[in-house]
Amino acid sequence: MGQTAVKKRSSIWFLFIGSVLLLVLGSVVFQEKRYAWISFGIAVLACLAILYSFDRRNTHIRRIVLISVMTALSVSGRFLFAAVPAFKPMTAVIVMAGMYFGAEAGFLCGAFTALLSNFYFGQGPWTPFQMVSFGLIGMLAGICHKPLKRSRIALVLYAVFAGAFYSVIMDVWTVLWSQSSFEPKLYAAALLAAAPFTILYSVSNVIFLLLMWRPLGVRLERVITKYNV
Amino acid sequence: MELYRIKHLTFAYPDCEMSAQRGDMAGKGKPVLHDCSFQVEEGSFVTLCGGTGSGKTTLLRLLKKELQPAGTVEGMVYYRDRQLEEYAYGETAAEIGFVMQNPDEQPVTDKVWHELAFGMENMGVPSEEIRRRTAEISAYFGIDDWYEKAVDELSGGQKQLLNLAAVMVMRPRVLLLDEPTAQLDPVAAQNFMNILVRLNRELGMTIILAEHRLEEALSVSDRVIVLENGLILHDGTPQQISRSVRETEQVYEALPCPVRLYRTLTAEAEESEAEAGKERHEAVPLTVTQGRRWLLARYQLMQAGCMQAGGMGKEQPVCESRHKVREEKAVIECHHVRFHYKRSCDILRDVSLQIKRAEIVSLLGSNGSGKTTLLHVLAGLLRPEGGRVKVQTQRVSYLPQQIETLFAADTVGEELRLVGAQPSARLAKYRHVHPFDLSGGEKQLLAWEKVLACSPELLLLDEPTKGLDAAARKVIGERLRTLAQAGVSVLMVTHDIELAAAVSNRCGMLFQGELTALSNTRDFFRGNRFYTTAAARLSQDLFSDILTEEELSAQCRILDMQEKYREDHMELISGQQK
Amino acid sequence: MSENQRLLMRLHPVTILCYISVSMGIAMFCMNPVMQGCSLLGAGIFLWMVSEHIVWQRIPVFLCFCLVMAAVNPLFYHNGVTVLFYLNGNRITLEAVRYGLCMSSMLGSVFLWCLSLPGIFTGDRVQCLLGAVSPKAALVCSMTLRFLPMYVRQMEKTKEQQRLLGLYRENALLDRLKGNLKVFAAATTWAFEHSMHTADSMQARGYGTCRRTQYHRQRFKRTDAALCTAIAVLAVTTVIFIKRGKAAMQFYPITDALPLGTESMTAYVCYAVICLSLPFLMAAARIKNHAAGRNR
Repeated sequence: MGQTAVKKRSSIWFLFIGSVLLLVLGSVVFQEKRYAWISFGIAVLACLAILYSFDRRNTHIRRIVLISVMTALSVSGRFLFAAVPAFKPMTAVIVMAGMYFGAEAGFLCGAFTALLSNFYFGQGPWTPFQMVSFGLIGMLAGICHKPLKRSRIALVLYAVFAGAFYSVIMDVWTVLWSQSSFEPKLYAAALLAAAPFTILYSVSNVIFLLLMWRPLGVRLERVITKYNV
Repeated sequence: MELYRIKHLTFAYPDCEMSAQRGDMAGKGKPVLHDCSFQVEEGSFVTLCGGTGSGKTTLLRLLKKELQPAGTVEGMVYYRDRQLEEYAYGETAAEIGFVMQNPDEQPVTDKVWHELAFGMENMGVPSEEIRRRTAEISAYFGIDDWYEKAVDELSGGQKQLLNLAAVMVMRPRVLLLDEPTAQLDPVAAQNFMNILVRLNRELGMTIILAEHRLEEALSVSDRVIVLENGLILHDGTPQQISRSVRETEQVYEALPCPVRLYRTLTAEAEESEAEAGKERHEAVPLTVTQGRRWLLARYQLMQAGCMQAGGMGKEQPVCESRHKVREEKAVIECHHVRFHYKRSCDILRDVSLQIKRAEIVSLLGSNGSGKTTLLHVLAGLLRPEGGRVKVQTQRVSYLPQQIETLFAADTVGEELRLVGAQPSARLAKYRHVHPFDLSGGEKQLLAWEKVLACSPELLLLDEPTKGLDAAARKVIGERLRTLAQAGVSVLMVTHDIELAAAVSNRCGMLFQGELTALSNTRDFFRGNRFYTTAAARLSQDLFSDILTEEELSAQCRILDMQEKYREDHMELISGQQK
Repeated sequence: MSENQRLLMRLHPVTILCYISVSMGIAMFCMNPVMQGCSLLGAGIFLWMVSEHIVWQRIPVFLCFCLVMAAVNPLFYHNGVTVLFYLNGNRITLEAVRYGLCMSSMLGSVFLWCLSLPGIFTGDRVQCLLGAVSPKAALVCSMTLRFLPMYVRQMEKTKEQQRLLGLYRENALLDRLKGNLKVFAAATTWAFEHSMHTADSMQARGYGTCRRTQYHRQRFKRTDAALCTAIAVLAVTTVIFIKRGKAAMQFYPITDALPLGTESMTAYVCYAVICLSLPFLMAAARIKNHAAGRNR
């Protein structure tokens, strides 16, 4: 059994070193689209690193189950509200997961939500970026859970920030990918073009977080105390 | 060899915030289990019997280290000569298998093959070995056909079978099962029990089964332990148990029909014999087959007389407790209703039905025959594709199979306020409790109160007795009778034949989306040979027209009396002759 | 689906990942009409082979998007020397038009590859790949996929019940939203309660006693190793020859002529072999199957 563990670990290092090498090599070969390549590689590497650290750590069994419950809930929320465009409770659920179960759980919930919901709503090279941006939103919520739990204003601010953050990251990707270099002008144009969506995201985040804050928060706390998670 | 030895086990849950919040004065600090001692031999089939809240789940969980609840434990649990506490965490995980009640809750992974492998993955078993063992187990359980399926696509019975297989694949020495068949339909439940018996007989697997009814379990177990309120009331072989359980005890209701019949009919004789200091050696009939044999033996001398008695019964039902439907006004009518879901064949083909005021109609039928769909159509959740539904009342209530879907609020009080009602006396103390924190029985109560809040004229019920113990089933039967007397019409779909036979005015069978044989309850069951009550199966060809146990015992009493009369008469005649 | 995927079923997920990422990766980074053509063709056939009919509905939408992208480029970029005409004082250049066309075909092919991903990377395959990095993460993924349909169903049921109880009127948008939210919250509580039993069942089966292994039914066979090596070698050759033959074209200020030297031809051939072989094999198998079916 020890042997398999060693084998596993070595395979992971192999994967890491391989991806770093590929990243460097790619950025030399694809002079044209170096930035796109590098950013893509970094997104993938970040996901790998966090997944790996999650695997090493000894997470409580109930916490693991709750992470997948939150992920399933946020994905099914996307289904439940499928009729209302751009108005999804996903971010709200991810933020709640981060707030109540910690930064790591927040990241995982975000990343898996992006990965799994894209099975139904379209997979692509943007998946790693979505994973990272949703993951970071959850992670940041986990890091500053104290003010978020305490005040409504902080929550609203964070909701707006989360909407904007998502747009900003995804636009970086759009620009980098379609053009050979990073042009601030184009980036600004892309941001502007996406502004209605950004606003819609932020507004829906605010609404959902405000609406869910109490009911979902009470339920999460209830589960945490009742089952001693 | 002894596998388990339990010595003076007493257990109490900590009186934590939750119970204080619930205002459970009764539950506070009071032990759930009280001084339980017994041992389990290797290779035996032990049934733990008791109603809801008797402490059997707690007892079962205490036997598995990984699932032991937090609380104060006194006494010892020995597993294979060592105390269970002495084992390291996870050391006995594979050896002691545990199957829970709800088939939906146990599967962890999304695919059948992965679920089978899950336990071994946890143990760090290498892939090749996992491959071998999953192949072996799926061949033994006949899982091959759905090995590649998603767990979600399986039926309840298949899921429970998968749960059992996923435990068996870890090669346990003992299986603990917590009401594994409570959520299954009768066919799947029987199938599951057969597999348990097979495991016990073929592999010598030790089985400890917690059950709240003994219909299937009694005849196959080696030993039965009866629990009530945390106390072991009886412990012995099925024969001993069938004799020793008193009529006043809750478990009496859980005994199979033949046993109860035997007890009722022989009670007087037994008493007199006990007074005379004699032991009865006749075996108690545990199954319907044994019961029939016993009845035949008992009344063999007067076959002709039987027929006569049956004839008498036909003209005048022995005891008809059923209420009469007087009014002719229909509350709901549907004519030639047709329905199918997207991308599936017709679920309902041609259903016509009419329910009168204060009438109870039961629909029986196997899974997938469209019973629930029909209720949805009648409730207005689905629009029929053909035919029409005419509902004459505004107040229709629907009690779903899964009562938890009724709850949407944070407290019991809020839940009832939503429908404009106040909690009744029994629920009042839980006013501020979350509905999900209630016990099973209290949840049931809340659901009924919520459904009845609008004082409905028509009540649609989907499997109202699923997973309930004998006492709770009785309560529901009573409740339905009272409702009908108050003028409420009830349509229920159910697998519970005994309930349907006991309360309904009319019964029908839904098969392949068509309603067949909808008729008067008595006529309906008279026409059935297989799909009928235990009492009817017991008395088939012996007496005609028996539906419930009361009728059967009354009929037997009449025969006894006739017999006695004849004996007396003969004596008299012979005395005269002398 | 099973019939079309029979060939893929024999391959290990890693091999499939290699195939897709190399085909898509090279197409993404090499602006060259020939390569884009190959990629489009390969992706198209592949999608046709693996997908069920539902995916086709999305294609018109995407074609529009591609056309818009092709049109937008010359409107925003005015580099290039060959002026076609002036629009609002801005020059529209031939180079920008060419670049736009090439880029939109690139986007198109990448999109086609992406459309085939959900059909290819089913839960099982994703878990197998994830399991290589983290068995625990793969388990979370698997559990989520198990919970998901259950929750969707539970939400639907709760919604129905609440509607029957008359608490939830689907008239106004706000009512609908409020109702949905209530249902969502109720389902959440249910899900939490439910999941704790699942946690028990995991514990009962010894979760966390030692390091998990990840079982998957696919074995990494010799064919997989051979295929992976072949793909890697071909990919490296393609990239080298793209560099040497300058197959990646420059569009501004003047568009290069289409490189047709031996070196760039080698790159084209290598790439074509990578990205067309599997779709062609699948298509051949299907045609053979159909023919056999007709003969019978």
